[in-house]
Amino acid sequence: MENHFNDQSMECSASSDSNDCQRVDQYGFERAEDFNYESYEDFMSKHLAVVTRRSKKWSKLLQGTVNVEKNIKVKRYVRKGVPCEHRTQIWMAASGAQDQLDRNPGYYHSLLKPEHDPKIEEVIRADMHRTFPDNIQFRATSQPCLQKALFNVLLAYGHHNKDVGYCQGMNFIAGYLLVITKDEEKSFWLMNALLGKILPDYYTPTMLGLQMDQEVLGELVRMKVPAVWQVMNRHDVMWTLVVSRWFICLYVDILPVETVLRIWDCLFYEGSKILFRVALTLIRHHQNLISQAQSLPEICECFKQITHGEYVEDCHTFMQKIFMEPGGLSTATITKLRKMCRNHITSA
Amino acid sequence: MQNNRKEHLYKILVIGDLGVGKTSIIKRYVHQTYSTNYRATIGVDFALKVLNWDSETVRLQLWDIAGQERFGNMTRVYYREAMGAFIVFDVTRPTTFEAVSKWKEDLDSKLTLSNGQSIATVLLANKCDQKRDFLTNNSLKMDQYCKENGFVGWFETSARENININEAANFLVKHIIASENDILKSVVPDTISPQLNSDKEMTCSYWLSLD
Repeated sequence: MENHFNDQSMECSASSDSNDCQRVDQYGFERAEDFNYESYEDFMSKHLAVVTRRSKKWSKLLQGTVNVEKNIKVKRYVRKGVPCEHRTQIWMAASGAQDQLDRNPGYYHSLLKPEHDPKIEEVIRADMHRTFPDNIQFRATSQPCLQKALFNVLLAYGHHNKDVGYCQGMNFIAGYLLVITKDEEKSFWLMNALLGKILPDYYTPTMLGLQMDQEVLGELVRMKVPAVWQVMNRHDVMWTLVVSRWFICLYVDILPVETVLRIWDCLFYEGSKILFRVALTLIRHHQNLISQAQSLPEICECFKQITHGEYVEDCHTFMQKIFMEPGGLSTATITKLRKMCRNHITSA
Repeated sequence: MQNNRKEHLYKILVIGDLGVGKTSIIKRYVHQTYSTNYRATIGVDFALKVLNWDSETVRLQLWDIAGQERFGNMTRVYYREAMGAFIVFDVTRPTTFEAVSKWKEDLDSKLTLSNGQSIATVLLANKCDQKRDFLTNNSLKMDQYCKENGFVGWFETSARENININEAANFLVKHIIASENDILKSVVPDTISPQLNSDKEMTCSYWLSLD
């Protein structure tokens, strides 16, 4: 197997040494032209201290093992953020992906054998240059280029899970997994854990799970943020219009990278409920703004606006907020709502 | 700006297979820019453009709809109340042209005007700046295709080179206004050759977008 990763090229580290480096973040993403370096410096001085502290605690917790038990202590640790150097192994262990990899040696590579479904191949290929064009690792000209690894993971997954095949959005998810794990096979098994176990059926041809969760979010907003629910109703805005990308992309390309990774820490450890917590927090925190919108285009604009800015850039505070701001959100409630919404959709 | 100008608000759908350049066409039209850095559109996005059309104001709401088939279950709900549509294909990928009739049928089955007519739809043969290996070099055949499939016309476009984008949009708006005025009812629809020059020079246009 060709190695598409160059360990030297993208060190997994939170430090930002030179000015030149700062135009690109530690994951290879170019910063936007209007990137606010001043508030970033403020954030980084605090961030580095937190990361260092967490890193020490995690090293002590793990002490050479990767036994990620489900208990209150580990849960608290995960919610406070998995350090970059431990992220791959924690995601792999918590999601059961490592188990699957160990039990199926060689399986991933067997999926890459030459005969492929040409239809799947064509759609995947069409998205290659449209996945993170702003990340230097995904440029066709970069050495090494992650496009090939991305293609492999998606193609392998499409053949592994024929009910899903390839659905747009999976390219962004596989892309993030590759950036973090720097390993095709691990990315494949993490993808499998997400789509096969953690998430409802978001990516199947009917996208029933996605439709369901959009409605569940609508119900939760009706209960918890009625002002927003009313304005959505008044202007006849369907939830899918403003939140489908949130669910399909698991906040990739919607929220800042570091914030997304923190959300994914919880996603792999605790499950898909976290996606509702994030959505509800964004909506509830900005309910005044949203409920002042006068038209459908204004509402859409609001939903784009609320995913940017300091509130979501400061991942530590934001992650605390998501467990407080929306209030209680029991698994039983989510299960009940999902059942109700699924019935509603399939009987319509 | 004069007050009490007559205002029109038109919702226009931009549909077609994935990767044919729907987003690029909209960005070119609305922002006058092109980039190779666009991401695949997930779900739906939209942009606004305002035209001064003679003495009236035309507000266009351009709906950029994800091309992958499975998104259709969700994105069809966006069809409602649309007044016009672009169906886009990529001249370098024959499969995207084969899908055009499927898109058109789907559109017609989901949406008709109050008089029972289908909405004004223009076919765009995009990426015409690139090497093409089929069909669109035969414009008679394309005219025939449009007639048979109920398109009001077709244009070879290039979002990259800014070819025919404004022309196609003006052409569509003209047809929307015509159908709105019920003029089309009495006129046999004809197909228009792609080199058609817009007979309506815009005096001034400005734009705003939601991005």
